[in-house]
Amino acid sequence: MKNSASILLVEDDLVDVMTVRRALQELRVTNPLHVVHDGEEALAWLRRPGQPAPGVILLDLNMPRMNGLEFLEVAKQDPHLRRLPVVVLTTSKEEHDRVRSFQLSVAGYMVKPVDYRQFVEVIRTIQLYWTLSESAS
Amino acid sequence: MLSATPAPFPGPSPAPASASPGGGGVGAPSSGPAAEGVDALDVFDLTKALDEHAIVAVTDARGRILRVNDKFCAISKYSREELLGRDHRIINSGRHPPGFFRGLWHTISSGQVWKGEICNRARDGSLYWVATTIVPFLNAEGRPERYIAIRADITERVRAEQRQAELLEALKEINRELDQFAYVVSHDLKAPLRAINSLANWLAADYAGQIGPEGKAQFELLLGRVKRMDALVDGILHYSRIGREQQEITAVDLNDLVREVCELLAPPPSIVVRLAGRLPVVQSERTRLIQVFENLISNAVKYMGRPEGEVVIDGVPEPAGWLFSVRDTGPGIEAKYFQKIFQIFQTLDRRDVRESTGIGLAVVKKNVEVLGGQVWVESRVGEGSTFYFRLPRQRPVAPVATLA
Repeated sequence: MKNSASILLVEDDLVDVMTVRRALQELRVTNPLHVVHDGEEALAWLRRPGQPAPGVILLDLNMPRMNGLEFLEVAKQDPHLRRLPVVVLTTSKEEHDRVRSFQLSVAGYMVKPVDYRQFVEVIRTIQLYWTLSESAS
Repeated sequence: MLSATPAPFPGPSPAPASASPGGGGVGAPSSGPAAEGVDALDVFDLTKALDEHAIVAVTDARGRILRVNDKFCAISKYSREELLGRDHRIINSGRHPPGFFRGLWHTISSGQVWKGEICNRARDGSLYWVATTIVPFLNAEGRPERYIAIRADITERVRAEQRQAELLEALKEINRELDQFAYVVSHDLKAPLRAINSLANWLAADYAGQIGPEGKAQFELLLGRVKRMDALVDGILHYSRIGREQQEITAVDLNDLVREVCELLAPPPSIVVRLAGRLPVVQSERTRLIQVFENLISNAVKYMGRPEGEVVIDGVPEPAGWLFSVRDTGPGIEAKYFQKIFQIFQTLDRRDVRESTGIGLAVVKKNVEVLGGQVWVESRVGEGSTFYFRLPRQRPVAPVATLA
């Protein structure tokens, strides 16, 4: 990912967190990774005073307490958070989830593959895109 | 029910009303009771027999009740004294839209017979349904001067129909819930499955030196089973989606559709896939038809059992729709499996011999049935198989529940 901006991973499943961590290591991505486990924790982390904005948010949809879509609805109303790039990383192939995510201005929507090697490819794609794309801020 | 007095109606004997001047084709009979061998006794007997069978009322031109028979009193729970001279609307249930009785009055006041089913309200407030025929009798000017309404009690039938409609609706709802359940369950099964896959992969990679070749083989089996379960879960997801999602009905040119399906499947060149003739353009849901043809053709190619073979697709018109067939020159199927192969997750080979989820024909069956058709197979071992499916020209419309 670009320069040294951090990556915020919003994910409740421990093994999925390990998967992302391992895939990033394998791809030699050195940006710091912060992990929170639901939408509420993500908002709290992002709104911490003096918190530098992350370079990208990787967002699971199906989470307890505040799910990914609910998080997006809040974040896109918040002038400080609305321009943060969010890539959805989910198991849901539901059209409703996909359409709603893009209505809430996500930068990408990736379905988590069962196969780990494919998962690495998904993370590689996100990384490539993010290395090449210009950002809003 | 037989009244002690011979006269079924109080008041004057039921001589026919004045003759119709021939207007509207409906009205009183043009001849008197004595003519053509019908004597007064016959009319009397007929009336008596009718009273045994039907609910009868006579009203004047404005709908005031002139006569009722015993059956009318019994079903409406009013005494004869309470009914005579009253407006017929005394038994109006209020369950019909306003236009209903306007239409009825328009018909009978213009001298036409009206037939239909009416919901009435008895004296105690209970509702009953009657199949009704109202015959207007015209005066010398051709205007109705009285009406005779003959009815049959159909309350039980209407209740049974309503119950049936309710059950049908409940069944649909349960099916929807079942599809939703299958979706949620299989979706939630995916997360732990992904975790097992990742962890097994990492163990195999990180501890390759310690587990040895036998351990490695077992890890491969483990990962293969995970992959299989993933395919099965995908199958359930796919199958449940067929029932949950409805698509737009458009004109679908099946010649184009089958060509696209074949290009996508890319069968080996030694297996010929061809059309027997031109296929029709049908009004249907495109995605469902793609799934049907895709699965039938890919099965035919996949299970050919030898390098060369032929798959022939045909569609012939029938009175109510089309009959399609996909015929192959494969090994054929034993008759005892004709039903079983359409069930979900049924495969004829062990999964270790041929990796297959057994979802394809279940998907075909469900799609065809959603489109209002049927699917079946005809086959003889050694002579190939032909899968048939029938599609109605029009997708059946769900029955509308009867007025309560």
